[in-house]
Amino acid sequence: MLAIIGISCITSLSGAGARGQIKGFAMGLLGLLLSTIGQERQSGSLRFDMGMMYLWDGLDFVPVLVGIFAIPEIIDLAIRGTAIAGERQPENLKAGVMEGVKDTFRHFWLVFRCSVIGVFVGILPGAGGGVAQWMAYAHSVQSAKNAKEREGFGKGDVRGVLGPGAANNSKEGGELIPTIAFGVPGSGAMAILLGGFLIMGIIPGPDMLTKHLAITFSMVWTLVIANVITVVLCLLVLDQLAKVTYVRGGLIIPFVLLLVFVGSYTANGQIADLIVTFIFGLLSYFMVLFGWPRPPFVLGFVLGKVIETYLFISVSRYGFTWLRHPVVIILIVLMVIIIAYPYIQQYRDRLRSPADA
Amino acid sequence: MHKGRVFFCIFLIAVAAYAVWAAVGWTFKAKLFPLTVSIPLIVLATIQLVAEIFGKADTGEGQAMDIEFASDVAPELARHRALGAFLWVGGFILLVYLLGFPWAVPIFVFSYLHLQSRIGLPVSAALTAATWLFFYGLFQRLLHLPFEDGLIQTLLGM
Repeated sequence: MLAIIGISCITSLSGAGARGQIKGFAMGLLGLLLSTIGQERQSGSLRFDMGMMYLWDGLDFVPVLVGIFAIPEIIDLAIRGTAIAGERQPENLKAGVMEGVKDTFRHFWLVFRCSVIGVFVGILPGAGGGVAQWMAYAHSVQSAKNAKEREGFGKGDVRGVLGPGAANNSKEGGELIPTIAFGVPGSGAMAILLGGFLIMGIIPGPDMLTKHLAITFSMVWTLVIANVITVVLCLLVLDQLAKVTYVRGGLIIPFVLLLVFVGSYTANGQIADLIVTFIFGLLSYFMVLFGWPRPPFVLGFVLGKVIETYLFISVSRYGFTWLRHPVVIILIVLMVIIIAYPYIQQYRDRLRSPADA
Repeated sequence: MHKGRVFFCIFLIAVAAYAVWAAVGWTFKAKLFPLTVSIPLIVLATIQLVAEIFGKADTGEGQAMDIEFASDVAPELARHRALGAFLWVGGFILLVYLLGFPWAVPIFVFSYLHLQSRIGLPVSAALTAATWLFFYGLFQRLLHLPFEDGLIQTLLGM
């Protein structure tokens, strides 16, 4: 099921049109393929390790994702030779804050649906905030009424920010559910929280929803209050933070590179992490340059291990007859609809446009 | 036909073909997933390759929903600047490999500011000192991140 949802998201995150879909699928598959590097979990066989011990554990998310997203931005900044904000003059951002609040209510149902996606992904162990955000982004793109609206995503459409933002914040609540109810942490942060529970003598389980309900609600309110405090703090320092975008690129590139590479280095504490970041930065640069979408690649890379595990379980348990299971057939049909939806939208737009004229 | 796009398709086909070639000899458990993803990748990349060679020029319809590089810079200049930026990034990694982070950071920051960004000596020095203080204070003193020695220190037994 997760595989089907992931693949559907991969396609909907692709560019418009048939060629965009092909590129999106191909990038998703490349991400899935690169996630197989390292030791295979079931048999312990080494795959694509090229004789390097560094690759035995597979590629770490951090150096890969930092390379994919940070390096092309830095290169773009170097190419432009201006500040991040370009030639735009500094403006008072506080005026736009209320507009942002209004946008949240204008797109209330999108925010609500993406929050539900965030909670759902949060419940799944190991999926994490990145997956929640990409899925919410995919859903936001899918919810665009026509191809023209879809083009606005990535170019300033506020829904591309509202959806992932909602999912990112709501996934924390989702992660709490398996942690509190079953003692199964869904992420590193929840594992630390679970450790804290045990130190304090709190045993996660059904009791947390009956006898110790007050503790559970205190966590819920902590999440709510923490979000409110974050919003207030951001509002207070918004203008100061935005000033960074007006600093000349040449001044901030070395500082950003330092942060990028130190962040990447913390994954394994090896120079190889920096080389991985560089290689994926180069790959990402060409992806952007030649119009191959990066989000499907990232989603494929992040979900790869989960998808492989469940594919293996399905094949081991049912052979290839698992593809004939009714639920699987329904999900395949759902996937086909998701893939075909942009084409149906395009077709309807084409039918409508002569009528409008 | 756009040569770069064609080469990128060929690159994808080569990566997937290598994956198939490497996976064929593995156990069923190990090869199931790599083969499941790399064979369709070859097919899709080949379709795209054919479209790039024989198809109509890309009208932008198939463009990815992603960032776009600056279009107001001449392509030749953009390529030149991109190559330069990648060389600086590669140079930083080489410096870290040779000298380790604590030495590489000030050398890189100062060199970039003074040589690439053409910032005056005093400002470059001041910004380098501030960056190094930030690096030392946050990552070394506060977070105690273990940074490996560079090759030169290791060879000299420092």
